[in-house]
Amino acid sequence: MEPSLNSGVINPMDTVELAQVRKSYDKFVAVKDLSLKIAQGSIFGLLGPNGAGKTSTIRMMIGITVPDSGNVRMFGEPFRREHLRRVGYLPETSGLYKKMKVSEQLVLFGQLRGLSTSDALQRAKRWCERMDIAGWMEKKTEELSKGMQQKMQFIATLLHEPEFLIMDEPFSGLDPVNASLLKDVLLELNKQGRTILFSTHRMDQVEKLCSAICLINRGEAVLQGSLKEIKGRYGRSNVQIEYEGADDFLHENGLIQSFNNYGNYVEVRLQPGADSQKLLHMVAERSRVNKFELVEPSLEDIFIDVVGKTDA
Amino acid sequence: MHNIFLFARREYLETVRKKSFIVMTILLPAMMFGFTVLPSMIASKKSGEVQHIVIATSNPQFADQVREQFEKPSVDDANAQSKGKNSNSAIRNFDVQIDTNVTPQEEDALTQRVNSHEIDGYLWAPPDAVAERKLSYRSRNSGDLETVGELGTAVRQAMLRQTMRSHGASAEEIDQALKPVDVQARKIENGKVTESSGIGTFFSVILLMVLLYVTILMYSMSVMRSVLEEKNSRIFEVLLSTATPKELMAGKILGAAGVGLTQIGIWTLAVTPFAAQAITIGGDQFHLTLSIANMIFFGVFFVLGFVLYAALAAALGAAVNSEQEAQQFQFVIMMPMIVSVIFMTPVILQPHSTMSTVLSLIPFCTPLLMYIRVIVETPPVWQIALSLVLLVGTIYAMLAICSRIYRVGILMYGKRPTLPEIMKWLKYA
Repeated sequence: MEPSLNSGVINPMDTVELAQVRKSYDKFVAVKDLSLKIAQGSIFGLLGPNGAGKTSTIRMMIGITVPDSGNVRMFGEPFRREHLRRVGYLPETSGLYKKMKVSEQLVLFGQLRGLSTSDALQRAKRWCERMDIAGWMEKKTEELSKGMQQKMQFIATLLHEPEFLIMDEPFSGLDPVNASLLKDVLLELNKQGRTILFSTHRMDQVEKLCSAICLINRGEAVLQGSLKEIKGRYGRSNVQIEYEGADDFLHENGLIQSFNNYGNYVEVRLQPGADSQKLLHMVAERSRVNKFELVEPSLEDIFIDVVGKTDA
Repeated sequence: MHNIFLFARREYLETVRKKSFIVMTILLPAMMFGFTVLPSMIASKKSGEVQHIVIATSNPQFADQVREQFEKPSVDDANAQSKGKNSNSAIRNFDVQIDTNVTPQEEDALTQRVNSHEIDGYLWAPPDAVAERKLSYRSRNSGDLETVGELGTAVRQAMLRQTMRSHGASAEEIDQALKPVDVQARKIENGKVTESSGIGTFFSVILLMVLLYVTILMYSMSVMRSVLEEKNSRIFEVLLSTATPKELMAGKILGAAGVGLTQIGIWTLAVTPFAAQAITIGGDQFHLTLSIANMIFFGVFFVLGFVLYAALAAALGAAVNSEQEAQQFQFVIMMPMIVSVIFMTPVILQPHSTMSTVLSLIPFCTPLLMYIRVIVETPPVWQIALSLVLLVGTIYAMLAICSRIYRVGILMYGKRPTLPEIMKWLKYA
């Protein structure tokens, strides 16, 4: 079973299109003329450090705030509030009524999205079972642990079966088991054709999930495109080395641009054009090499690289 | 509209289910009863013990007269008792002795007896003082104005009787002449003399006013706290992706207004069976004047007043980050309410004076002061209509302004905004 939402559409439209949007608070410019497109059915990563303007961008995307200039289009049309019925937004910090019962609260969120009471309750029950919190439905929200509240918030964004899911730091506060549960659900939803936007500063967490990304820093897009294309552009210029012995090879040559040393394991970024074989020889002369692998740079490496350049 | 209803219902149910709602519903009337009726009940019951008083005067006949007047229930009280109603002064219990020795030595002796708690006080009335009509009552408790007052009356009556008797009047004639006259206030409403007494109106007004004041203030503060709580729990981020700030604010205010009306409704139902009964406060009895029209006006002024103040409170709750910060701004909301309460008595006494008219037309004072005027002496219809138009207009304007502050404020965290900053929020698109 794979009900595809874009079946029949020949040219998949963009779920979201931001054109030169700008938002400033007083003199502080939170988002500087940012443009991006999120293709329908894709998993898109909006990445950047804390305070880069990710949440400000999302707020403009879904009409919580209005951009000072620029345009927002959603589902191929200029943004209208009615579009929000097709959107699910999981905010960074969980925002729930603490005193309300879990079931009541989920029903309220369903109703706000236009579901009937019975419909909302049925769906809430199904999702609570799926997310392993069925036994807590009659408890007050404040009695739930932080992780459970995060799962509850997640359910609240899914009840109305949105076509477009916005996940702001979805894995924060979740243990590995629950993070993986959440990830599986999201991948399944994506397979059904729903578009997913991840916004996070933990690039390693979403690197493997995203098909396209936009890296932003200080309100500006510093890098965007498909993940494959970006990584291809940077080539296999990173080396992972597991070694035993001295690590003075890290400092003594002109081959290495930067490194991240963990003791017996080091990630090295080579100088542009440097020969990795030369490095292998040098390391082998002084230490015992257990592993020597050429890898693609991680998003974090790329980010640090790009930001380092723009800040310089 | 659907969203407003959902938020209002949520707010309503959450508040009504709270224990504090039930506690307040019981406690507030209990407190009002405690502050008004109880003290006078206690005061009138205090004299289980006998007070020993000495009347020191050289004329034993005169002293007897004073004692007689002082100990027996006055004609006024007797009159009240004959109507079958209790009176507090009759309950006071005195043991009055007469001392015809008015030498300075005796004065010292009496003073010592008061000092040693043998007697509670003595009336010092040597002949020259009586002639000058300047006596003194000496006791350990100079604040016992009631005893002093009654002694004064007794002495005056004794003197009157003496004079009248010396002119040849009989005892019955004297009693007849000294009988007090009972003047009762009766309100004229719609051209008819009603049964409601002036004192009844007065206490009904005070009662309803306190109720109006307390409920408006209490519930607008609860709106502020709940906005603040939601701001701090960051729930707005989620809600704003489905609803507009206006819907959120309207739902919150309507929900809280519903709670207030429910509470007032409970009180009204609880009071209705007793409304016909006389209530005694400070020796006076009165009937609560709770006409249907008064209650309808109460509802109207509560809802309008509440919406006005709750809008301000919601904006305040959205603008600040903690209750401590909110407290610094609360006076902005409290001030007009307090002003209304300060002017309450002048407006009750002179409901149609220029000052009363002007004050009651100021929208922030209208809920309390125009309501007072409506109960005390129904003002011209055009004034009521004008005050309502002004009030509704102000509410509309305040909602527009406050919803803007609210909309920006609920997403602003961090430092407390300054007034210029809040003014700037009003201009944000």
